[in-house]
Amino acid sequence: MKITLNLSPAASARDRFALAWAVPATLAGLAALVLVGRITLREYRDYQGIQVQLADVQTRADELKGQEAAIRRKLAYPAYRDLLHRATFVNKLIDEREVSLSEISARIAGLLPEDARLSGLMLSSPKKPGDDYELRMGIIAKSEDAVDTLLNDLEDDAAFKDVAIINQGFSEEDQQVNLMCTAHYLPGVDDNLEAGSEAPEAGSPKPEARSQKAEAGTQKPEVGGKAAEAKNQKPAAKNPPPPAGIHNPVRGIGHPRAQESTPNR
Amino acid sequence: MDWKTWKKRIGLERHTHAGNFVAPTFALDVEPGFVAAARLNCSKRRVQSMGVRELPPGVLAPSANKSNLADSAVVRRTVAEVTERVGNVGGRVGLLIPDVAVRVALLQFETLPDNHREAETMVLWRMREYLPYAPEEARLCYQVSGKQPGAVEVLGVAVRGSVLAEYESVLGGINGGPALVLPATVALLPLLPEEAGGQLLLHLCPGALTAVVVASNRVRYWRTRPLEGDAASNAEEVGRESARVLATCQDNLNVQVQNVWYCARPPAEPEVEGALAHALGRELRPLPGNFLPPSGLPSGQRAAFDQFGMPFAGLVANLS
Repeated sequence: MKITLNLSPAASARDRFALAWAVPATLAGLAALVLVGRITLREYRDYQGIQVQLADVQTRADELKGQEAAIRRKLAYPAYRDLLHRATFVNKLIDEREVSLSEISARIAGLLPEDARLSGLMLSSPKKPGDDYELRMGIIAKSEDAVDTLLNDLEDDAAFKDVAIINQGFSEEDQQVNLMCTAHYLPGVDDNLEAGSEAPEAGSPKPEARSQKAEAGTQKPEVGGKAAEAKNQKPAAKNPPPPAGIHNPVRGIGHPRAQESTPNR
Repeated sequence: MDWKTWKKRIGLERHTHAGNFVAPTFALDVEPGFVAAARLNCSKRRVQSMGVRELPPGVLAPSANKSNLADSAVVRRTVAEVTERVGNVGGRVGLLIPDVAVRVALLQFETLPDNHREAETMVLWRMREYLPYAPEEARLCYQVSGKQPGAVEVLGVAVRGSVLAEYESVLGGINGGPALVLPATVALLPLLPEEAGGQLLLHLCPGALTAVVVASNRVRYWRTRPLEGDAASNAEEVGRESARVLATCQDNLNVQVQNVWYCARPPAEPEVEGALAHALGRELRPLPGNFLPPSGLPSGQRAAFDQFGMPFAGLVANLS
């Protein structure tokens, strides 16, 4: 009779293969351990590098704080404090500066030739701080010479820049030229130029350059035509010619013709 | 989740699933009064060497539910001596333990699950009435001895885990522990001839008589009777017990016993054998155990084999 009995427990797969798998499992574990160790070492070195950089940044921040404190201490001196108050006052005035439409209208009217009149005027506020006021003007003139004269005067005026013609038409019935143009208005430029007119005596080269530019501007109308010539001669008759290096005082609101009532206004 | 569940999950708990028969290369037979060892050649089906050492009386007291080793140090030392004498060359170790230490049951089932674990659980549940301890403590193995439609016969063998651990401990970790554990009488079954008629096996060991009836390669009857004292003093009791078994098989099981095979270790007195033959009215035949090398064994080993080595011969015979 054949027997198949056995009271000894059967060897499980774990018992049979545990020893066989022990070596490769140990090797794999060691490899994983080495890998993890290398990664850890690299991370530790990176951490140390970042720590050094952080210490540098903190040192730099401390130095800047010290400099700030020194500057603040300097500002606390009476002389610097007075200067600071003045600068603050000037900045406040600049911030509170306002544009007057009537002033602009008078300035443009001063630039208009006799045979041209202002048909429309629109002023747009700056869309963001630092931008200029945008000016849109409608002009009706009896001749193209008057238009050219006006445009030249606008370009020569320091308070206006970027003069551009949007539309220009000629009406045969009325024999008139219709012009629509835009320009950027720089408020307070006139004041700066007046302030600059006192500078040449102080020896600053910049005002001289401005005065030369202004002189060139006065020569332009002579090239332009008779109307421009007449316009330049008129103020000369009433006011003495400005000294060299001084901004043309006949421009803008200071122009004598700006005081006259014109049908264009 | 308790600690036992965790141990089972991480594989620390030794599972109780018994395995199948494996051929050992070195076998030990621990019985009251002696420890026998043999080196086996599985491929050539031979017993290569044999050795026996005597155990002092009272050192080993087989029991199914009590501690078996009164002095484990002596047993361990004896095992080491006999192992050294025989020569352990490694390989699988077989351990034969006394019949009294195990419980054997013949069970009938209508059907048995294909899953081994489920079947083992069912067999253990049926064997619980044979066990003097909790079924959870049992180490169980079973063998389907007969299978017909609607009827499955199972030979179940169970041993208490703590008892088996005692026997395993005396090996001292030889070759990593036993790969095969059997009661000694089970190891004798392969020596019985495969005949249709009933075969009665009487295995007389110090402290016990085991009677097994095999018919048509099926175990039909199994009984282990503990004995007090040596065989000579129990000659009458042995005779009565054998006659009772024979009558039970013929009357209740309708098995006509043709041969009575007799194995006494150590060999009993002639008067015991005579009393048995007289009680049974049959001739007692020795088990055929010609599994020795052609050159034979040295005289001392040959005598030990004749007197104690039949279970080792059965292990070799089971390899066919």
